[in-house]
Formats: sequence, structure tokens, C-alpha cells
Amino acid sequence: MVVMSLEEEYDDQATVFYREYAGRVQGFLISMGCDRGLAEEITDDAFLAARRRWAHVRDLNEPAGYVFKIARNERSKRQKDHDCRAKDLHPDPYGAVRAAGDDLAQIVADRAVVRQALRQLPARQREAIILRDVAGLSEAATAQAMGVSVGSVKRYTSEARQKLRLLLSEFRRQQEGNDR
Amino acid sequence: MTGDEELGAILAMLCGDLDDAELDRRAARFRGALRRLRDDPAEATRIDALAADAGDDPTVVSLVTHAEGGDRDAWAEIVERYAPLVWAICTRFKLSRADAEDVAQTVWLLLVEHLGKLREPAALSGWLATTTQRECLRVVTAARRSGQRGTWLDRALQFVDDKAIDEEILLAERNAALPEALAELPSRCQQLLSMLLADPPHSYAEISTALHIPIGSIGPQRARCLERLRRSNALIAWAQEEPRGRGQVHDSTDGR
Repeated sequence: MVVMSLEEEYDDQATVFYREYAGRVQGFLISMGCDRGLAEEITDDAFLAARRRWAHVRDLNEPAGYVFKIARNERSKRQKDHDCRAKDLHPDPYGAVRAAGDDLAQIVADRAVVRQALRQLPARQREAIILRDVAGLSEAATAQAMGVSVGSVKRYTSEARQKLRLLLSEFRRQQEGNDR
Repeated sequence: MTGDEELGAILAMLCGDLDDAELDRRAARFRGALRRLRDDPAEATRIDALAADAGDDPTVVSLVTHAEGGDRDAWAEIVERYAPLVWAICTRFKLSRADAEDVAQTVWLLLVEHLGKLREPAALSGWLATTTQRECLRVVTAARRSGQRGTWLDRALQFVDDKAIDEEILLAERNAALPEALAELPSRCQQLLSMLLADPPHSYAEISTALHIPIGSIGPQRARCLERLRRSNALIAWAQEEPRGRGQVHDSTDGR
């Protein structure tokens, strides 16, 4: 008879959890400015840490919030914000659109603008909107990941969205002006 | 003006999900890392530190928040997690099983009342440890009142050098000899010890402000004051009434 040990069972559960959330954790880290290699490394470490405390983590209301929190703290330890603010900006998102002029180019350009705009947001707003809208976490999970209240998450997110909306419409107005 | 939905769609695209093949590869790598984690204590320590660094224990914070909101499961989990801590402290005080159970029950009742007032939910274990020690001392003191003085003194002195010194003083405070012993001390020591004896005890920050002592010197000063207290005539005289306590006190003074 094959009896699965508790450890093996936990490994399996943690792997399911990994498959569900690893992409999002990594997406969060990359949006926060990590390069891909560092993002992969931190992502795997965060899930390993969750596995080590699996008996507690699996019973949490927001297990995803837990793993994002570890990833978030690890990122801020290993990468200073100024490293990721300036680099990796698209040199000319407007130009790319004017050259191609089709929908795909519009999408690419919008994303480039939003990425750039994200980097200009205050740290907490940036983090909140990336966790909520890029990684797709709930408000409660975001609150746990950031170690703040749900009310603060709402405030940071709505402030960030408002700024991004403004920047994006501003960009499109300029773009229309250039196209004429 | 760009709408929320449109912005949401753009932001969601930034995430770039892993495709199935990539996910399979990564999941296999993750399994490998899990196996290595079991055989490599150094790696396990490194990984555990990540969780610890993530602001002590997020689990506790959410448990406290939920328990405060009346969540029975969260309550059960807190009791389950911390019962061993409470029990271990009772053991340290050599309480009988019945006494330890009484102490544990009192501690949990106090926690019910106190939960909303925990300023920092992450400090739960500290609060529980302090409260349990205080309750243990209450039981030990009660036992002494009913005629087991020698045992009590052994325990009291046994803990004087311990870190959890506030509670030990609290214990000693209830001794009739203590006010006399305190009176022998310089007034600074009296002030310091009385602040440490207050229930609830004053924080180091408060003591620092009130007595104009840098926070860093409170610990050493406390130790010196306690040493004087142990050598005070009142306490030694009192201890000599009881053969079992005498040896302890003489050991600690003769040794200097």
C-alpha cells in the first residue's frame, strides 16, 4: 500500500499553489522593475518559504497575500527603487505608434506609456495598483501583502488609477496632435 | 478621459502569464527545489529567514484581526498555536497540572478582554508570555501564603537572574519583607524598580522619560538594583527564617 506522507502531500499542495500564482507573483515583480532572472529567483524563493510554513499558510484567508508579501519584501531588500525607476523606459512610444498606425501599435504604445507612468507613481500607490490590477489580487490579499488596511489599499489604488488615466489620455491627445 | 475598464485591461496585460510549457518547466524546477530544501539545512534556514523577514508573522496579524471580529476559527487557531507557549511557561514555574490549567484558562480569558487593545497584533506572543508569567507568579505566591514559603523563595530567587525579571520582582513585591528591602535601596533604585513593578509595567521608553535614564542603561541599572535588593538586610533576614531559602541567598552574596 502506498501511503503518502504529510510532507509529500504538502509538497503537492504547494505545487498546485505555485502553478496558480507563480506567474502573477513574477508579473508583479517585473512590473515593480525587477529583471526577469531576479523575478524568477524571488518568486521561487517566496513559494519555498510558503511551503515551509504550509500548515499555516494554506489555512490563511489570503494565502496569495502571504506569498506576495514575502516576494515584495525580498524585492525591496534586493533591489533599490532608484535602480528600476529610470532604466527600461521606452525611448519614444509616440514614434512607434505613428510609424505603424494600427491597433496593435496602439496597444503596445499604451502599455509602454502605462509602464512608464507606473514608475513615476509614489511607491505605495505603484505597489497597490500593480498588486490589484496587474497581478489581479483582491483588496484583502493586497492589504495583507502590503501590511496595510483594506481602506488604505482602496485609497492608494484609486489615486493611482486616476493618475494613470490622466497620463494615458494626455498621451493620446498628444499622439492625435502629432498624427495630424 | 480613459475609462477604468480600459485601463484595467491594459494593466492586466502587463502581467504576462506563464504559458503552459513554461509553467510545467517551472513547476518541475520548484519540485526539485523542494527536495533540496529537505536535505540542505543551510538552504532551509535561508528560506525560513525570508518568511521571518517579511515582518515577523503575518499569520498572527490576520488571526488577531479575525478573532477580534468574532471569528471562532481564528480563536481556535490562536489557542492551538499558543497553548504550547503558555504551557511551557507554566512548566518553567513548576506548576502542578491543575494549576497550569487554571493559569491557561485565566490567560485566555484575559486575552478575550485584551484582544482589541493589542496595539500591535504581532506582539501577541510577547503579551501572552508576560501575562502567563504573571499568572504563574500569582499562583506560586498564593501557594506560599498557604504555608509553602521555602519552595516559593527557591523559585523566586531562581528567577531573579532571569530575563523575565519584572515578574520576579512582582512576585517578591508581595512578600512582606520587600517594602523594607526596597526602603534600603537608593532612591533611584526605588523609583526604577517601582516603575518596573507597576501593573501593567511601564515601557522602557516611559521609564527613560520619567527618570531621565537612556533606554540602554535601564537594563544594567535594573540588574544592579536587583542585586542590591537581593543583598538587602531585610531580604536576607527574611530568607534566614527559612532554611531552604538561606542557601540560595548566601550563595548569591558570598560569591561576590
